[in-house]
Amino acid sequence: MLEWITAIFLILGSLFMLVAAIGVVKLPDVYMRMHAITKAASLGAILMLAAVFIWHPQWIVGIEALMVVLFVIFTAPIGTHMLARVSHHMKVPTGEGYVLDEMAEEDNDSRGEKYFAPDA
Amino acid sequence: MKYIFGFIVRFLRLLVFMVYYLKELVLSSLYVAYDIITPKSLMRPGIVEVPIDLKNETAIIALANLISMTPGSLTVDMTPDKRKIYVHAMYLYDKEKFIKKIKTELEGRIRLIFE
Amino acid sequence: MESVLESYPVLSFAVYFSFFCLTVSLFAGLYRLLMGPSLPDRIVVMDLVASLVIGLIATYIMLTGKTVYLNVAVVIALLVFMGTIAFAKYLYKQSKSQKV
Repeated sequence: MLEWITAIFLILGSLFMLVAAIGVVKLPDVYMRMHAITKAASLGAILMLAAVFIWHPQWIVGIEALMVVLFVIFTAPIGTHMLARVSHHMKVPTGEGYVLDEMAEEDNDSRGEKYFAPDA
Repeated sequence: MKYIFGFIVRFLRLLVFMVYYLKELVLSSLYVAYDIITPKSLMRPGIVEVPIDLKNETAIIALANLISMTPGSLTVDMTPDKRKIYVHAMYLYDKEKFIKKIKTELEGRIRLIFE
Repeated sequence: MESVLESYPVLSFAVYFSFFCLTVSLFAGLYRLLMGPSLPDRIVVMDLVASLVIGLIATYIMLTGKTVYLNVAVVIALLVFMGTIAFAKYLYKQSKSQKV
C-alpha cells in the first residue's frame, strides 16, 4: 500500500515537472513561461519530496524536506516577480494577442530605484 | 490569558491560510498543465493594475505571493508608494471581475490574518 | 548505482519513469536555453533546472536509500533564489546603463 502511494506521488511530481518543461518550450512569451515554472515546477518538487518523506519516515528527513518545501513555496514567487519586473523594464517583446498593458503607460524609468539602489 | 487566546486564534488562521495557499497552488498547477497540453486558443494575456489598501509590508508580500500562486495571475510590479500592484493575467476576459476577485477573495483573507 | 528497491517492482518502475521524465525535461530546458530570444528566458530556464535537480535528488534518494543527499536539495533551494535575485539586479543595471 505504502509502495503504491509513494509511486503515485513520484509519478505525479515528475509529470508536473515534465508539463512545466513543455510549457517553457511551448508558451509564446517570457511572462507565460514564468507562469509555468512558478506553479507547476514548484508543485512537482513538493510532490517528489513528499514521496521521499513517505518512504523514509524519519525526523531528519521530515525536517529537511519541510525546509526545502518552505523555501520553494516562498521564494519561487519572489524570484519570478523580480525577473518579470526586470523583463518589463528591458521591454522584452511579448507574444501576440495582448489585450491590454496598463503598465506601459506609466513612466518606467524611476521605478525600481528603491529595490535596486545603485551602490555607492 | 487574553494574549494566549489571541495568539491561538491567529495561529489557527495562519494554518487555514497555509491550507488555502496549497489548494490554490494545486489548482493553478492543474490549470497551467491543462493549458499547456491543449492548443492555445483560450489565452488572452494582459497586464492589469490593481489598487490595494494594505499597509503592513509583510501583508503586501504575502498578497504578492498569493497572487502569483492563484490560477492565471502573476505579480509583475508594484508602484513605489505601495498603492497599486501590476498583475499579469493569462485569461483576461473580464477586467472588472478579475480585479474584484483579487480584491475580495485574496486581500480579504490576507487582512483577516495580518491586521 | 546499486538499487535498494529490488523487492518493490512498482516503486522501481516509478523511480525509473521519473528519471525518464526529468531527463526529457532537462533536454527541453536545454532547448529553451539555446533558442531563447532574450536573456530573461534563459534565467527562467535556470529556475526550472533548479526544480528539476531537486526532483532528481529526490529520485536518487528513493533509488539508493541514502537520505544524506537531502542536504544538497536544501542548499540548492537556497542558492538558486540568490542567483535569480543577482541576475535580476545585474539585468536592471545593464538595461539602465544602455538607456542613458
